[in-house]
Amino acid sequence: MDTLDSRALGYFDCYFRQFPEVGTVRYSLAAAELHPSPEEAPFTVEVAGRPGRAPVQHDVTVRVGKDGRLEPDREELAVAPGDHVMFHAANARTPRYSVRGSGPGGAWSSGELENDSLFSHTFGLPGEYRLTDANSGRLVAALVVSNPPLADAGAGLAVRDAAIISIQGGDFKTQRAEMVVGQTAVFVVNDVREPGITITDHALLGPPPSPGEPFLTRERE
Amino acid sequence: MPEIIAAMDEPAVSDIMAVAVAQAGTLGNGGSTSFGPFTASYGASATFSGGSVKLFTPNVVQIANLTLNYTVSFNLSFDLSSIIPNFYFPGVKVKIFKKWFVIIPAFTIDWPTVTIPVSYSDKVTFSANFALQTTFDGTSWHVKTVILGMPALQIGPAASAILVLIGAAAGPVLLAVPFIGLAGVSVVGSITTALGISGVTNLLHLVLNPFLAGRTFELYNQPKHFQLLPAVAPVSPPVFINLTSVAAAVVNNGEPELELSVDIAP
Repeated sequence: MDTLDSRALGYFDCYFRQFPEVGTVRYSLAAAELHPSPEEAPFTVEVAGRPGRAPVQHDVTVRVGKDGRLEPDREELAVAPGDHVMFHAANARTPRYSVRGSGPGGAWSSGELENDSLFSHTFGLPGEYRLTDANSGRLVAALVVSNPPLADAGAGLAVRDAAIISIQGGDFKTQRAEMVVGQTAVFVVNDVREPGITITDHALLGPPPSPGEPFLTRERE
Repeated sequence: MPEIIAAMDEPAVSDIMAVAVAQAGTLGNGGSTSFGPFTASYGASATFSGGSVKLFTPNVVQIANLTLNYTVSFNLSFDLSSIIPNFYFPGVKVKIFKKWFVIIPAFTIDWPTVTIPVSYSDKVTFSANFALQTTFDGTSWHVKTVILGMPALQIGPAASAILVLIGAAAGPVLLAVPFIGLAGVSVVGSITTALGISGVTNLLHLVLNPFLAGRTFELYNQPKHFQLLPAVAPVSPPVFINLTSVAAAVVNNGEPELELSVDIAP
């Protein structure tokens, strides 16, 4: 099953977070339905030194440890200010999970997308994905995903370009987009404050809107 | 010399055989098998109908145009990865607002095992030779026909139809497999090619042969001890006899006949 919910990161999802401020960030990983206490943050991102250097991406692979708990492939990570860390699941058997932490910039969570974070999802099944912010209940965008032509699929053409969907102040700049299976949507979140937003397939939240019911109430900016 | 001889010509045996075939009722069969990358669990039901009898000495009953009416249900399971290559997502580099790049990592799709359900009903007509067999189970005598060998079933057309059904049933199943749209090949075509007519034919034989192997139709049964005449009160008690032996054979006295030879005792 292919689902889209930034609160529960799966194998086809990535969560990116930028760390602009120097200091120690502690974070935890938990199965999506669990919320560990703030004290349970065994992993660290140490942000230090070398200002002026171009931002770099650091990859963290989330896997199931020997004790059955989720763990990163490295428990301590050293980054420079402005670098971003990308979390992704090791394989399809990795349970859906969330990342939450706190540091000099305050508390953050992959389940509540705020400033300086990205969420990506690579679509595996065709269909119309009506995206909802589960925190506000608002339907915010629709992505129509179709299968690519057979020839394009064989050549891998479908996966070359990602679709960037900007979310500014909680508003989606793109309210409707057409994509193909294998294409990745990257949701870039800026100027969103607490409690943040989620990017959730409306089908996961409840019955779809009635036929003809408008669900995009805001004008394209 | 037997004390009782009963003889039936071919039309009479055909009439009795029609009853025997109908009394066989609905037969069931089920199981599972593996062949190549496929595992099939199946269930089937069948009835027999029709047929015309020819008799051959010394004890062969040939039934021509006997029809096997059957319904089969398959659940065909296989690892898609054994049919089509796994899908590799190469990862993409995305420029975010001309400021910075993010790299979506590569991943591999290890296709799942899928199950395709198919149900099919048809009939196949065949001819087979049966041998006469007489048995005594302790209380009753039974005269049966027991199939000789395994008749050849013409199931090529049925196999073709089932292969088409499998292809049609595969479509909705595959729709639920993420990234299958990127397989780059006709997945349904790959599945039906891997199965092939021969695979389905073998599967169908496996399902149908148990309905035929050792198949018997009972022509006659009679308790060894039974009342021949009722009591005629008050002077005559009922008359019972015992069938001490029953034998069946095909004889030819100008025309072939099925002959029952019976010995009795009071």
